[in-house]
Amino acid sequence: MTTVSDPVELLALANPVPPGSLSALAAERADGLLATLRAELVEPRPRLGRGLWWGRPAFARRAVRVATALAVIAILTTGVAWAAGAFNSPTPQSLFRTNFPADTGSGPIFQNVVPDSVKQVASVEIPKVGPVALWHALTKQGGWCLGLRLSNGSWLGTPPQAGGSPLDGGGAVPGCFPTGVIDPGGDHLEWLENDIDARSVGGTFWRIRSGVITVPGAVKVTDLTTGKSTDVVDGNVFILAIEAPNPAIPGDNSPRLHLVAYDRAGKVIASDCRSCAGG
Amino acid sequence: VTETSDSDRLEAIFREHYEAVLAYARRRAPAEVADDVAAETFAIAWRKAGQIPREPLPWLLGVARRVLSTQRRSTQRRTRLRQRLLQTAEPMPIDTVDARLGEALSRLSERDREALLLVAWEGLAPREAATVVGLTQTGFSVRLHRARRRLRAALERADTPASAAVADHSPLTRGEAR
Repeated sequence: MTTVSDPVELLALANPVPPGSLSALAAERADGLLATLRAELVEPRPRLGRGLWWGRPAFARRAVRVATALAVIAILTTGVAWAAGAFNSPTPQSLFRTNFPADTGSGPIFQNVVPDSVKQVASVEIPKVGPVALWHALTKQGGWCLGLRLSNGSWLGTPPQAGGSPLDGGGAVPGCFPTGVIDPGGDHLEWLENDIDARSVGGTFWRIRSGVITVPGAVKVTDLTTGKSTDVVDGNVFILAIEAPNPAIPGDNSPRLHLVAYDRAGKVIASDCRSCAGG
Repeated sequence: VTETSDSDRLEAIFREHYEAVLAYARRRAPAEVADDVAAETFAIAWRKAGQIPREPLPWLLGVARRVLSTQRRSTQRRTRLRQRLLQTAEPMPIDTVDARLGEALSRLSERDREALLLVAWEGLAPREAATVVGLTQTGFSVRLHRARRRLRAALERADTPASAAVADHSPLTRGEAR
């Protein structure tokens, strides 16, 4: 056993990631991540040079005064939105374009969004919160992108400093996924879950499942546990909100949901759990 | 200063420090979470280019620390997706440290533990570590000094071979605030 005189030295010897041990991994990932960062819509802004106020002509000073007054009014009238993080929120195009790769354990899977395919396809109304919009896009690799956005512009599944919401109860990070990978245990029904904890605004806890059906013909998605249904929109996309007990309570007493998709004839054609009862 | 030079600087910062930020995160979280934390840290750096100081690493680690903290607050729910993807969850890195040392570390407050780890694992000087946790250098040095003594005391109490390996024992100061 090594004898050391300082516990910091003892700790250093027990470093789970010794210095230099990630060099190869970091080098391998650097270019991909850097490309993603470069594509960020919110490009680094150039710092503006500051001219001397008293050195400007009179018309310029007036213009600056007017601009300052307008800026103050704008700041005051939009303070609430600012506090809510709305201005930190990326646009849907930016969000999907800069999504970080999914990782199934065998390495990152990059997806490149098709810009023209980005659109809002549906929304659900959550009491005390308002509408939650479902944004969807396709990827050049044949995958799909999903993101849930509150009416103040914030995205569920993102941290506050990146435009997230204090009402976010946890869940999937918005982004793009290759078809057939996100839910390997399922049968043509791929879904993400995001939760809203609206208790701080007098509401309740909600689980929102959104996803895509990867076989043609689906018209309705139903949760067989609660009986709640929703229509399939835009050909193969769905969003379903279900009020639920707060899962932060020990034992997680949220009901185990089981989604199935029906075709026009009422036949189950997709399921999130092939071996579960009901499809 | 042009936008191009800002981009060049950010790219240089990324290439120089990505590994260190990734390692910082991987020492504190399972790999898949840590990878997200490192990526998110640089996404934030991209948006806040003007705030990055001349010495970027402590600032970046401070951002990573806050991102990690946010992730932890909703880990139970947020990682459900990742667990579905990965099938099996990885242990936290700190769980992989020698059991006796890990137990002694777990007895410390998060602030004390972080002070020790920034120096022992990240190899930061007290001046740099102070920036990460938002303290003055003096304030950090005091915290580190106390944390070091508390870890020694915790190792002593553990009464294990690991604690016997620590030659210099000094008990907690009586009445010292935790």
